[in-house]
Order: sequence, then structure tokens, then C-alpha cells
Amino acid sequence: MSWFDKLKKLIDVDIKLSAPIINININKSFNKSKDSDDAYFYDKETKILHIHPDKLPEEIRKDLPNITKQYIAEGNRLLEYKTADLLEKLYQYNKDNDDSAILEFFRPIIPPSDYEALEAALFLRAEFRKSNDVSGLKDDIRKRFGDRGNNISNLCTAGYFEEFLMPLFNSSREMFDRIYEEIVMRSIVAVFVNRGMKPDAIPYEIQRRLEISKKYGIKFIHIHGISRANVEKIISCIQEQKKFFDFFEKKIYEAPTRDLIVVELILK
Amino acid sequence: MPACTTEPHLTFDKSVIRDVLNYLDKDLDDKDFIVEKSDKSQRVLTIDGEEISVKEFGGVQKGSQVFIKDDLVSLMRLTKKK
Repeated sequence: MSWFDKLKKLIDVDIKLSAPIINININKSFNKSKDSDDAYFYDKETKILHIHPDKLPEEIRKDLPNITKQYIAEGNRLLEYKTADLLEKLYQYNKDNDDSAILEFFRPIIPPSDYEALEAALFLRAEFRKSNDVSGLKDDIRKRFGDRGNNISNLCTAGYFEEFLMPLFNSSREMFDRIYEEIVMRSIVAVFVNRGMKPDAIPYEIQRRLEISKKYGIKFIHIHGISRANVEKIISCIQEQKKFFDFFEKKIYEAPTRDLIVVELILK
Repeated sequence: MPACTTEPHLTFDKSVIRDVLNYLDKDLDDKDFIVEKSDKSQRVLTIDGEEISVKEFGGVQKGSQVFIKDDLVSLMRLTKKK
């Protein structure tokens, strides 16, 4: 008897337990009411049956470990709910994504760990473009690849891999080899303003990057901000530090929704 | 959730991680790494051969119970393995 048949035999709920209409989630948090003794909750929208293990009758609860083990032994992955969701999104992305040309381009020319960070960053970008929350994905990339991975993720989201590094490589392999490291390690072409960055730090970060990039003949720098707070931070910094920003020719691209900004600064 | 598959799937919520580890005869050591219940000095390994803490636990698959981390890169690698 399969794991699912065993489970169906054990539990007695008022829904039809047959594939593909149902998935089962073992969960203690769906029912936080102390007064309720419900062991099951069927979510009609997601078609998921949530089972509260502590509220199951003892004769059913004692069989859960064996059913779980059998589920795995039958070749299934037992996954935490959000992990299952992320894995499904990754499979879907692999099937649909149009980023393969970018990956194929960079695979032979960047270190393997940068390539893996880029792959993760492209998925993050695809999720970001669907307006999904990507803060967890961003943290995962930073934890795995450190500041370098974080830079790759920021640069990738802003389009630098295909819009700057690809043409750079195509025009001069030598120049690419010289500045790739500076770009992914120090992010010399862009400042990504984040929540924790104070407005005073923006001119400092620009100055720091320009000192390096000027050596390579790069005469521009971009400031990126996502979220209304960061956009406002950048705008007020430009107004307050007028003297500093007057050194540059400025182009400001701001989304009508005021939650995204790119400022291009070109050395006069 | 695995929405595009036709088979029913069993998942678990973060709230029952300890229960699930218990079902699989696993326990935690003093640093919160997942270990065999029968031998607490034996930390379990992921598909990439890494030790795994309870905070990182994303699931298990067949193959003498191969553990899965819940982060993006671990799952990205998993999609490339059969």
C-alpha cells in the first residue's frame, strides 16, 4: 500500500483525498486558537490539507513517522513548505528562462563561483521583475558568496552583465580582464544605495569608486536606489551635496512610481 | 508547493521541523546541527556533503536520507541533479 493510501485510510476528513487535487502539509501553525481541537484544515483555494500532528488521535499520530519514511523511500522529496515552493519556482525558471544566453556567454570567462552567483542572481532578478519579495534570496546569495556575491547580485539586477560587461568583453578582452575583478569586488561602476546606508556615505562611496575607475578610463558612475525611502535618500543627498554633484554631468531616471531611481554621473 | 505535478505531495511547515526530524530518527547536537538519534556524534550530510543545522533544514530525499538545505544555491544545484 502506498504512503498516500495509508494516509487516506487513517484520516477521516470531509473532502475527497485523491490526486491531483490535494497536497498535504504537516503544520502546527494553521490553528493557533487554543479553543479549537481541529486536527485538519483544508484550504480550498490552495487545495492543501494541513494536518496538525499534536491534535491527531494517538492511533493516527503514531503512524505518521512510518508514513513519512515511506513517502521518502518511494522516491519523493519531503520538503519544508516554503522550500518546496522555491524549488518549484526554480524548476519553472529553468524551463522558461531566457537568461541562458547570458550564462553561456559568461561561463567560460568568469570564475566558477562567480558563475554560480550570477546564475542565482539571474533567478533573483526574474523574481524581482515579477514583483516578488527577493530579500530572502538576496540574503542567501550574500551568505553563500559574501560581498562579492552581493555585488554580482546588485550588478546583475541592474543589467550590468549584459549591458556593460558583455560589450566590454566583445570590444576588448584585455580591458575586460583588467577591470572585471574591480567591478565584481568593488563595484566601481555603481553605488547601490541600501536601507542601512546613510546619505553622507553616498558621495564618499562615489569618490572611492571613481579613484579606481579613473585609472581604467571609466568616466561615469551610476547610483541605484530601489524603494521609496532609498529614492528619497538619493534625491535629498543630491540636493544637499550640490557642490559635490556639480562636478558631474547628471542624468536622472526616476520611475513614475517613485520607488526606483538611477542617477548617471559623468565626469565633466 | 509542487503545483505542476499530478501526484500528491507531503510537505511540512517550519513549526514541525523538530517533529519531522524525530520521525526520521534524527536529533540535534549542542550546536543545533542535525545528527543521528542513535549516534549524536554523527552529523548528517547534504547532497553537497555539507553538515546542516536545523535553521538550514529544507527537506530530505531518498538515498539513505540525503538532507537538503533551504537556501537558493543549494536548491539551484538540486534542480541540476536527477
